[in-house]
Amino acid sequence: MTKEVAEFAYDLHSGLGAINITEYDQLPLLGMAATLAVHIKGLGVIEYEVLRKVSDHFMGIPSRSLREILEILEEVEFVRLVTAGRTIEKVIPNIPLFDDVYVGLGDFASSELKMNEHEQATLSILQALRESPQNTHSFQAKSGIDTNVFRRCLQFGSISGMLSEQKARGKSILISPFYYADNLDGLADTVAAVGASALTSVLNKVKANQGWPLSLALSSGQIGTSILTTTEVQLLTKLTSEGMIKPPTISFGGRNESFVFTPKPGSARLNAANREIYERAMALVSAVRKGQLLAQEYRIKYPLAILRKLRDKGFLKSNSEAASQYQNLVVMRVAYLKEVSSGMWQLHLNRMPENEAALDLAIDVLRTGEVSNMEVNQDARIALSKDEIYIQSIVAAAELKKRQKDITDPQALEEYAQLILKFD
Amino acid sequence: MAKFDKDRHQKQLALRYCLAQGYLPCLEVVVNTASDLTSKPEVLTDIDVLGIENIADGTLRRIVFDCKSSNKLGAISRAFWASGLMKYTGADGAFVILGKPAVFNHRISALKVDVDLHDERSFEELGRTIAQDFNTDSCYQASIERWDVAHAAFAKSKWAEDIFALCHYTAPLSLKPEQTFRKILAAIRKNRGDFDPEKDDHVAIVFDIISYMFILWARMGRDLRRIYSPTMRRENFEDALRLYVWGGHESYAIRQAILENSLRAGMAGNAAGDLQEFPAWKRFVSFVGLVISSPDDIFRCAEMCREFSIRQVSPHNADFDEKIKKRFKTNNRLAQFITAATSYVTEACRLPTDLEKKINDQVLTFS
Repeated sequence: MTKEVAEFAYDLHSGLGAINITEYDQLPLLGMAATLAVHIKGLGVIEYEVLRKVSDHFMGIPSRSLREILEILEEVEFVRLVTAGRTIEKVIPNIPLFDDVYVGLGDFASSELKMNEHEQATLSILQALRESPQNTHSFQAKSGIDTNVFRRCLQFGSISGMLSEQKARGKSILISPFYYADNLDGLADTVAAVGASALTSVLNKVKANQGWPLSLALSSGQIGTSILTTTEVQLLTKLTSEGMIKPPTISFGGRNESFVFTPKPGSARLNAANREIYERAMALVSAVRKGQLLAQEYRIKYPLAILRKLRDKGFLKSNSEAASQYQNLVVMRVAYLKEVSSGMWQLHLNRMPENEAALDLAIDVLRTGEVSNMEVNQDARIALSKDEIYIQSIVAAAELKKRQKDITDPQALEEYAQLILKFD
Repeated sequence: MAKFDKDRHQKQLALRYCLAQGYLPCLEVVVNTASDLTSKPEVLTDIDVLGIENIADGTLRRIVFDCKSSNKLGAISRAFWASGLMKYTGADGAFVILGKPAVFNHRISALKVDVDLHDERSFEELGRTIAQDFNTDSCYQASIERWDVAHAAFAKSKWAEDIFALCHYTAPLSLKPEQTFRKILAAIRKNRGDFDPEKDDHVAIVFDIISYMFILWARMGRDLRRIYSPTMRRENFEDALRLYVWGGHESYAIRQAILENSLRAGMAGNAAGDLQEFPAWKRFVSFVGLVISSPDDIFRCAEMCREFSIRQVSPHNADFDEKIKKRFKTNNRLAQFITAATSYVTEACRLPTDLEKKINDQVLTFS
């Protein structure tokens, strides 16, 4: 749970931003520390002034809190601070590239920070909602959270966009836009119909074998080595047909095949700018899965090795199936095909940062099933590497627009639609 | 429904008379005040049975049936009352079924104000001139007990109160069908989280709503047929349909202006696309295109859906089912329109998709 505490704290902060909730004490600090750490990882020395402005503008860290956060990070040895008396002048990131920020902060939290009742309740709510949407009443009963604390957590959950409470089939369902991006109504309805545990079980099986061909899963009744019960098969069909899982498709040999992934992560785990990288990674995984499971003649035995080779060498040896198999990658400009002899094509990677990131994500997804490192805001990282003038110009431009968060509250939109429909 | 208990026998007579005549019966239609000056709507009176007749091409005639077994008010006074009610609600004819027979001079005088005075015996004889067996339990709708059961099912779902009021009270008397239609859609959307396809009661409610919608569409279909011409381009028809269903050009323009202002005030842009167009617009256009080809059948669908609604919560009867099957066989539009309507309502109000499946499967087993 330790690493997850830091992850959930990050998620919570991404939703709350600068909103101050009096019931929270240590959790926002942890969240801000995680946010900051994730963004400065791998960068060089940063001027304190630049860091102050960038963290305020992009990461929602009020400048007043920055000192305290940096002191936490210093204690965890993620940064070194260059001070002159009481003033911090420079911040030197000290996070090795292969270290997991969440693990380090999670360990710190478990030994140094004590969460109060509301914070603990929030953490368990987030943990449950990450698995799948939950039935409000049964979740509350199972978790044993006090009713008033629960209600309060739901209240600020809605404000921060962390969760929304919806009615489906007469039951009240909690669902989190942090963790699910597509067709939240459909997901709530599914949980109301079949229960959270059935949904979680299907999603876990998909996660263990990301990118599995849909038709193969439905016909053979299993994904990878996990067997699907008949209800799970029906559930899988429902999830894909109603857009809760949006499987990428590859056309080859006159047929179309869809490849199943876990639902696209929501706003906390997938920063908007990284959506393109996510799509490309899914395309990469689908392509090698096709080669692994639906090859015309030559099966790919080790899809992970193929992707690693593409990353290291930059191209794949030619074969006859490459043209159809990797067509999507060419369309998305991840790679290009070179014909070496008639009918035999080599796949070459387009060496650009997005494609490298996509390849890394694809390898992670195949290996662990997890989508990681997609929450980082790239604009923030760029701003951190530049000087004060750059960040000042961005801040000034933003001041002219309304600096409120977008009103994407689905409840409000629905009520608005009601009014427009109803009035004479 | 406790309300149905008063003058029960007479109500059932009126009900069966409507069915024999081919009218669509609506029980206990509450009439509200014409003015809207208090926060809660005020009830003036209620119509015991309202029969809706489709003359041709969506022109609807409404007949009021008033059942009074007590004799507090004299016969002719009752006739004048009914005539006033007719004028107020825009009905075209009225029957008053009294406890005691009225004097024949009064009866002929009452005809002058389009009110037909009867007592139970004479009304039954009138019914028998149409069909000898009119006073028999011939279909699901024909027994007041079943209406009781259906009403109890609706009363169990408190969340459906608004929808119920709109459908049962406003829709039968509505002179502005597109407005009532929009309001019904809004009311369903508000409560869409409460519909559970597993519950028969809820399925019955949906059938009921759709049957009332068909009454509205019968009227709208008539107007829309006047808009449509075979040489018209699709976009032109769509534009006219859009303005029609939003209540006219000015109404539509105001809504667009409100939307733009909200966008400027910071409402999320991508969600606004959902609001700019009428719910499930594409499917609505297809539905309209489908039903204007045969507007008379729209009304018949209302009867069928009412049968299905009551059937959902009553024990099944093989004879009645046979009758339904026969109707479907002779009229190939019924299944087509009903399934199209269900698909539209499910998409427009974002109801659970297996609700649509369940309803369509039921309808298709009969066709």
